[in-house]
Amino acid sequence: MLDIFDTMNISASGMTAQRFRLDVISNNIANAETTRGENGEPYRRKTVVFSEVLRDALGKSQYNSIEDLNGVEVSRVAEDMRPFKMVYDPSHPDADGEGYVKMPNVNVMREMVDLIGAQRAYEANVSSINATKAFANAALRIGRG
Amino acid sequence: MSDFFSSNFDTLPKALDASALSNTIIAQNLANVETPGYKRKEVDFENYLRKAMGDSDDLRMKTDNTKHISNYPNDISSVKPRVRTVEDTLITNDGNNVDIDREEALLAANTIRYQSLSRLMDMTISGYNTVLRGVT
Amino acid sequence: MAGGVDPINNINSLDPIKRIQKLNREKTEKAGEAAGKTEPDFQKVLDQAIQEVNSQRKASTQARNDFAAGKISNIHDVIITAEKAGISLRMTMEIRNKIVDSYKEIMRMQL
Repeated sequence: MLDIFDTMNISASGMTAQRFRLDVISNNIANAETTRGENGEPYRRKTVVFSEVLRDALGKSQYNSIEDLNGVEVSRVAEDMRPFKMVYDPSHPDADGEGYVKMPNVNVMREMVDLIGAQRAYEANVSSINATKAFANAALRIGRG
Repeated sequence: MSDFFSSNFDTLPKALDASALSNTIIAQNLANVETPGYKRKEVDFENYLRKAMGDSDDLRMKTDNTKHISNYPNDISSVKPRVRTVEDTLITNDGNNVDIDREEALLAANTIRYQSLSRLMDMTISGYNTVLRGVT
Repeated sequence: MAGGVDPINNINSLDPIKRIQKLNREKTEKAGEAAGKTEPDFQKVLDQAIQEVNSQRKASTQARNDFAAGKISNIHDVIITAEKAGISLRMTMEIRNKIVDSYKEIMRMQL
């Protein structure tokens, strides 16, 4: 059986994952106008991929019993390979011959929605940890009268 | 002397176990609220306990021969909480079927449940302690 | 119960005090026998109670050690086990006290 502390670890892993996602989204927003990144190309949107963490006694990733449950982790940061946006802006220093600028494939509105989602998920994990604390406190009061 | 302890000492600890297990399962569901392909899990217990206590609308399979399998537990001591993966709810594009609103509601409800159960256990034990107060 | 021979048992002794003491002793022995007849019940109850206390205490110690070693899953398990051990112990003490009181009561029976 999983105990109080292991349960809190599960929630903590959720918080860590969502915080990481928050950072990636913030980075997308911050670079929404970066036409020239490290490789000379416009900034490419990044996303996080989560995966459930299962650790059985042999360290293999399978679910046999609740002892295997271990929360979540970010398995990788993926690049959004959709095409860059072409925006007509001849005055831009990076405008091409026809006056078009290759802009990052970041949609700020979409990122804001994701940000709120990540916030919500983060807070849900906080609620979970608080609930687990309430469990511990309730149990410790048994027999006190 | 074991009869001295009321049946509360059989049912309440079991219910507490199941509730604690539910809390862990809900934690896993919430941690994986955005995990692609993740299917939420759930704990079955209360319905088993009710059936073991004889309070069920379902028809109980009659067993004439002890070798036949009964589909319901007959006594409370054999009732165990069970974890089940839920496949049949609406899912998002990436195959995840955790509804964060519903899960948070389950979290709140289960927390209250555990607090109530532990309070009942506390009152049961305190009852004995009060009667035995002053016994050295 | 007195064992061995002593002058008090000689009821033919002319000393009245000693005679009364002898009668008292007989009465006590009879009362002791009466208590002895119910003694198996007391004994059994006490034995059972002590067994229960022992098993509760073992469970409680085991639970505490497991929890300290990080093995226990649920706090409520440890606490309920500990409380049950405490209740069993005190219940047994109560039973013992009542038995001793009853025995004393019987022994106090006057002629």
